[in-house]
Amino acid sequence: MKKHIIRVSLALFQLGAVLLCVSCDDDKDDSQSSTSFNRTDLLSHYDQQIIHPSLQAFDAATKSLQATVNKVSQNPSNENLEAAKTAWVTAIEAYSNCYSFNFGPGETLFGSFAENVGTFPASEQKITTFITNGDTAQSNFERDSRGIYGLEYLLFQPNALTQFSDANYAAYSRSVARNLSEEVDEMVTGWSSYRTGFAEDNGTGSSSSITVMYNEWLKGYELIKNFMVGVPAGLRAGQTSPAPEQVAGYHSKQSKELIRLHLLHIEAMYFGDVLPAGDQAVGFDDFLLTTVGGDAVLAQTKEQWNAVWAAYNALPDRPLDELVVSNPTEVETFYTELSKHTRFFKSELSSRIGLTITYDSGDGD
Amino acid sequence: MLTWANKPISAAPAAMFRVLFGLLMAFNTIRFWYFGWIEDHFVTPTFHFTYFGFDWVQPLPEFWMYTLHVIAFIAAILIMLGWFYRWAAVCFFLLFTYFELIDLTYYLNHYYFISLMSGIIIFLPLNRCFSLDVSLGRVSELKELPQWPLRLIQFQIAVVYVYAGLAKLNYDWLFQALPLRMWLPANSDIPVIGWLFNYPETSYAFSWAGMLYDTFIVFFLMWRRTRLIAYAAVLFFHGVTAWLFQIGVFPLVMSIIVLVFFSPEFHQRIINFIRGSIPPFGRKSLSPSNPTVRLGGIGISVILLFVAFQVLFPWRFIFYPGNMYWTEEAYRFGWRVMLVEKAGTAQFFVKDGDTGKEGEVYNREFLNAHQEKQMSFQPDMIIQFAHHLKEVYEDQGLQDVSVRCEAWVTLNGRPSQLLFDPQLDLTKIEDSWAPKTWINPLISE
Repeated sequence: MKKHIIRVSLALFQLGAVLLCVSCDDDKDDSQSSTSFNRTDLLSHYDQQIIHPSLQAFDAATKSLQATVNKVSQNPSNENLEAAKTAWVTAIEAYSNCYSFNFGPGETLFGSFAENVGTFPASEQKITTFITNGDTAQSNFERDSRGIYGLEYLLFQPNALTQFSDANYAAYSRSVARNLSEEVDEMVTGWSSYRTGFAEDNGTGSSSSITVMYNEWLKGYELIKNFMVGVPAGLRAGQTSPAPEQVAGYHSKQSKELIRLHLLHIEAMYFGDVLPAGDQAVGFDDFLLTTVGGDAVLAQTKEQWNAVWAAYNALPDRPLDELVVSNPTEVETFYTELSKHTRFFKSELSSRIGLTITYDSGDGD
Repeated sequence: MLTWANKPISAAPAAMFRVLFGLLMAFNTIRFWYFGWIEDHFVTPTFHFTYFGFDWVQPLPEFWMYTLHVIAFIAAILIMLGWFYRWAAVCFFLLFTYFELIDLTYYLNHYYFISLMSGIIIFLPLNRCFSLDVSLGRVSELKELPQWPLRLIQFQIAVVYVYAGLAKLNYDWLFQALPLRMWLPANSDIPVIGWLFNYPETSYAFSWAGMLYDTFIVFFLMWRRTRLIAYAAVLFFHGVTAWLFQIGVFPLVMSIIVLVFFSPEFHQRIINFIRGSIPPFGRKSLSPSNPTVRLGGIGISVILLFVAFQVLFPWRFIFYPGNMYWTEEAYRFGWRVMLVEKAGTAQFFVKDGDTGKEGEVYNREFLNAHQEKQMSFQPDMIIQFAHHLKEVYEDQGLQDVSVRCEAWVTLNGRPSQLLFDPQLDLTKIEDSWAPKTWINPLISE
């Protein structure tokens, strides 16, 4: 019996060896064969060319914004208010390039970077209450009463100029601008210490740099689809009508432009582009190309990007809060194209590049 | 058969198995707690996917889930010590199985294995040697046991390995080196040998070696002359898989419990070593034999039924049409471990029958990341979620709710395809053991 077991085993090993050779020969013409990809290069590129510069730009923008807000609050004038509004637009553009960096120093016990800085829509009611109470401490979890969208309300609401004459309103605006600047400052400082480890941790486990970056990038995409477009358009399950006031950038009328900027960031992160020039370097697309079936997926992904941009460009040039009422069909088409895009990010990419998305043990032998 | 089953052998291997199994389960319970998984798996989720026929199994409030894990830990320690052994085994089996039945998305073959093993040992006299039950006189000591308890344990371990090996006898695994050709390059950052994983040849070698290892390792462990080298292979294989993949405690569990294939002398030496370092206390009567541990006609019939079930149940996939790895029908409880790379994106749309208004569901409102990931490519879970959504939205006031889902799934690097018709109203489909004819066939076999 034992002899039989050995013989059968040896025969199977030999069969295996032969078939292995055959398989390897076949593989020479196999377009799906894997090649190496240097994840450290990708991480270094993202750190040095995308994340760090984007955060620094946002930091500078929030500092300028704070200065202009201080100025208008001390000397309310149309000119000063317009300067603050311009500074806000610059800041939100910069924020659009880094809103998905909610990992490392961007993930804290007191919420993520985007939660602390970019919760939208701002709550007019909460802001008014804090102003009435003269509460400028900013030490609460009412994140929709501050951040860049809180400041948007304070600067862009119809009576802003008059309101800045009110000491409480002015003080609250200053405190929001200060808090925003401090949050971003903290993030930049945190990233400066985190970045070395970020580039070095080139694994693909659930807590690796590339996985946490991918997870937050994916959430960033879903934020656009679900909350910047879906909810305002009334396309979330259970909604009976559009909710225009839920757009990001309602008061500044920047809602459509903000979607474009946020999408550009998602696209840049996918291709490893450096905005605004769009210099292509190593990105997820290059990683994908080295994987089994990656070339076909990349081609489909690019095709869908084109469809998304085509649908976006078909929208009339008006704020989204108006479009969801006046042009619901075009908005729904845009949303549908965004929806179709989800799978390319959510499952196609992560599955092929071998990221472990959740911490739970997989099945093993 | 009865004579063979009741042939006396040393009780040492079975006793050591009890000690090691209890120790591992205690460690596993602590680990589960330490990682915060009691909270993540049982407390935080607002919805749980249930096993077919077990939808009545629900998590208890947070305090009780933690308390039950304390009890499970104590039970595992009691199993290890062999103190109130049978009660401890019953308790551990019920608790562990309860934890596993709460949420289908956390199904793992090895959790199934632990449930089975903890259920089996309830009926095995593993406390008749090297136990506190013996030392404190609760049961009489047996230096020899009939061989059926040990053989049953070995059989169950063999089933895991052999079926895991047989499951690898498929085209993707052997001739495309998939999914290893997708998984190994992800580990190219590993020092010294990482670069090897970028070569397809490495994936082919791992695929074939894995298949041969799983299929034959227990036979080499059984045979005295190959046992040591086979165990070295066990340590190497499980060490490598633990290093490369996120598979938790199971490499450790399997590496340790296969010691049950080692000789009685080996186990006796360990027992003597441990006994030598622990002062004996309260040792009571020594009884040479006990008829209650001998197998009778009914006993062997029950065991044969169990064995037949274990041998046949994984083959039930032959009654289902289509590719099992795609449809997932008859996939579970078949020891198909780390066999496919599968991922999906499932987008659900809820329609109010009254107004005709349809909206997309944000899955993460109801599911955690793990639940969503698992559900997105498993048809029975998709059905469950769709039914749950119907209830939720009807409670919110929507009328005559229908739920459809667009599920794109990729299997082993194939281009994604729709799992089923996205226009299908999933609320009209009830899950059952019947073939799910509504699933689209896998286009690229």
